[in-house]
Amino acid sequence: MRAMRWLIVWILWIHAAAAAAQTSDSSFDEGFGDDPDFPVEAAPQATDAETPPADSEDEDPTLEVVEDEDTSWLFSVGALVTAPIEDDWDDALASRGYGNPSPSYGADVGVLYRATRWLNVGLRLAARHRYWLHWERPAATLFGTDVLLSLDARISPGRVFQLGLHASGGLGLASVSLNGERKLRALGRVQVGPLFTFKLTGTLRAMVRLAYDHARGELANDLRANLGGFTFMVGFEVRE
Amino acid sequence: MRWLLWSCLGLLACRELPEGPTRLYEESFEDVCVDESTGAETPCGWSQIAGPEGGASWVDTIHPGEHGIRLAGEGTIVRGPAGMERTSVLRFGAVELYVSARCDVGTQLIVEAGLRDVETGASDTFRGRATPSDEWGNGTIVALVSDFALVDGGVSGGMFGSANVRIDILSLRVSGGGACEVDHMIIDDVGLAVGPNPDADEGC
Repeated sequence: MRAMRWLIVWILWIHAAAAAAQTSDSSFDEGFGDDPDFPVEAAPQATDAETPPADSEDEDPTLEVVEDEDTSWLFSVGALVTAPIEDDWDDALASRGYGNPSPSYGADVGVLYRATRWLNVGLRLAARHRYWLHWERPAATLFGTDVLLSLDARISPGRVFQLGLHASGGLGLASVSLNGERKLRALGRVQVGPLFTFKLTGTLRAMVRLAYDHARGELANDLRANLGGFTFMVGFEVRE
Repeated sequence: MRWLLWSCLGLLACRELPEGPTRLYEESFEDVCVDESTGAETPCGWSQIAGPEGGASWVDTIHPGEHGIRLAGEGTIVRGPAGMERTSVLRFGAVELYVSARCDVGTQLIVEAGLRDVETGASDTFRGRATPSDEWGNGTIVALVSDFALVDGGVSGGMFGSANVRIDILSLRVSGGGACEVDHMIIDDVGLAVGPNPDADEGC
C-alpha cells in the first residue's frame, strides 16, 4: 500500500511538472524568469516568442529543443522488467527442486544520435538478473549484459508528447550460477515495440518503452533457455 | 530516504524462504567425500558394491555446479545411505520416486528401497524401473512397489490403513548395457514426491 501511495504521488508530480513546463516553456528554455527588469514582452526575442499560428512550427521559438537544429544526441537511462517464459532449462531445474523463474529485473542505458527529424540511431547497454529459488540451496542465478544496436522512429503530436517505435538487436553474455559455480554463455537478443515520452522540464523527458524480447539460447547440455519475453521499461531521457 | 531504506529491508525480507517440505528420502549428490585410499571424490554415503571397476562415478550433469552419479555397465550397483531419520505416513501402502536422470537409449534405471515400519519393525523392499529420456529435461515418476501385500505381514499399511516408515537402505543399478546419470531423487508418499518447489515470490 505504501508503495502504491508513492507511485500515485510520483505520477501526480510528473503531470504537474509537465503542465508547469508547458505554460512556462519559453521562459525556462530561454533563461528568462519573472524578472521585472527584463519582462518577456520587452526583449527582442520576446517578439519572436509570441505564439505563431500552429501551422508555422518552424518559426516558433517556443518549440521544445527537439525541434532545434542543434539537438543531436539523446541519452537515456531506465529500469526494466521482463516477464519469464519457461523452457527446457527451467524444466531441468524444476526436476532438481528449483522453483519457477523469476521475472528479469535490470537497467538500460542508451546513447542515440538524431539522424533525421524523426529517426534516432545508437547503442544501448542493458544488464539483467533472474533467479530460481531452492528450499535447501542457494538460488540459481543468471546475470546477463547486452550491447544492442538501436533504432527508433518518433512523431510529436504535440509539444509535450512523443510516440514511436523502437527496434534493437545485438549480443550479450549470460553468467549462470549454480551452487557457487559459474558458466558463461553468449546469447543474441532482438527486441521491438512502442515507446512513449513526455517532456518533464527543459531537456528532460520521461520515457516508457514496451517490447517483446527474443533471446533464446542454449545454456548447457542442449538445454535451451528463453531469456526474453514481454518487457516494460521506464526511465528518463536527456537531449543535447 | 526513510522510504528507500524500508524498501530495501522489505526486499531482503522477501528473500528468506520458509522451510520446504520434509521428504521420506531426498538425494541430490552434491555432498562429496574423498576416499582416503584412492583420492576419488564420491557422494557421501554412496559406494559401488557390484559391477566393473569404475562403473560408478561422480560427474557434472547440466552445469559445473550440478552433480550426479553415473552408472555404466550391466551389473553395476551402488548403495546409498539411509533416509536421514525421517518418517512418512503411507496412505496407500506404496511409495513414489521422482528422479531427475538421463539414460542411454535402451537402458533402464532400477531402484530398490528397503522400508521399515517404525512401530512394528517389519521391513520390506520396494522396487521400481525408470526409463528416463536420453536428454536432460523433466523428471520421471516411478511407483515403487513391494512383492508382499502390505497388509499381509510386510510393512503394514494399504488403502485402509497407514504406516510410519523409514528408508534404511537404497540401491541403484542399470539394466540394458548402457549408462545412466542420476542427478536428483525424491521418495515420498504417492502424490507427494513431486513439488512443491518454491515460488519466485515465496516469502514476500
